[in-house]
Amino acid sequence: MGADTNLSLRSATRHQLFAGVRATLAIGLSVVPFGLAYGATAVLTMPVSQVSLMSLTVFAGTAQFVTASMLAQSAAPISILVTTVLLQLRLVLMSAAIARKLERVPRPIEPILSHLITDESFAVTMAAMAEGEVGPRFYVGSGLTVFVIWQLSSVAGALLGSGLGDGWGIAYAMPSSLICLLFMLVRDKRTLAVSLTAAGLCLALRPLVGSTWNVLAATVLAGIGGVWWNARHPG
Amino acid sequence: MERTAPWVILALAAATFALRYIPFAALARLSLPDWAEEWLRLVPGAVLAAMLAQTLLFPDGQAPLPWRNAYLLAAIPAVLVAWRTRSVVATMVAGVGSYALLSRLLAF
Repeated sequence: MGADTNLSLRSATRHQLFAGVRATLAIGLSVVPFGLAYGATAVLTMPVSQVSLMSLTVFAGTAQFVTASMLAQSAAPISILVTTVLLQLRLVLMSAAIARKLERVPRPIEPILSHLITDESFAVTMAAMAEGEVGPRFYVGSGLTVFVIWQLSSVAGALLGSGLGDGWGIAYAMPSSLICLLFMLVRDKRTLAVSLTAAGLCLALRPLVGSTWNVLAATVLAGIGGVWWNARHPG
Repeated sequence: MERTAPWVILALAAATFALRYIPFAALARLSLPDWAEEWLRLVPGAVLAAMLAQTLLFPDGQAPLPWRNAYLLAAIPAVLVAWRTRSVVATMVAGVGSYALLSRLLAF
């Protein structure tokens, strides 16, 4: 292979990385308010270093929100884990879908690529793939963009929150974010029906099984109900 | 709590990594049955809705009367704004603002 082709190949790959960054900036910035709210509420229960540790290692907004608020209520660690795993099951689908599209990624970098999966990087990369030739480098550019924005905004939120302290209604940033996330997730009648069923079941089960396991039982049952309903009434 | 938090965070990190990496490495070659995909798609919204219902009706583990419950009342403007705009910023301003106002009013 001549030097010329090598050079153009390298610039093409760099081009892909930046194309990923550019395509993700706008949607990536929409993560900032979540990051600020997460940081500001989480810092009420843990030091800034732990707020940041969670953003680096978990890197999943909704799960981080819920973990911070369950830690604040002194919930049992096992129930925090089970709840947040259920909350993140969609990652399984996104991760399998993106891996199928990326084909031929070197094994050793698979763990890094998988850590960069978020709603945002997934949506941007899948959309770009539907339109044309886009490879792993585009996806890395997209994933890193969200990663950097998330780290900066959650630390900024933590510093802001520890400055402001409780009061100003900051504790309500968590329920507000959950409300908005729910509206983003529930896109069709079936998901709406399953979500409402889960909410009702959760309240009904509370006196029987307590205030953490009711969430899990209600969710699993409502999910099974949804699958069963779907099998009987297709379309 | 200060002592358990780091361990909970690291355990959550490990679990989240497994949720991302295992399908990435293995499921690209295999595939899930339809009912399993459907269940995985339905459950996250259900967890959010269940948690939210509980957080709003039982803030601090107690069940205050609905019209004295600032958490529940502040959700009304937040839900309306989220439904109309789907904007995080707008929802947060509506929710946090109403909560700050309501919790002061209800304290009298």
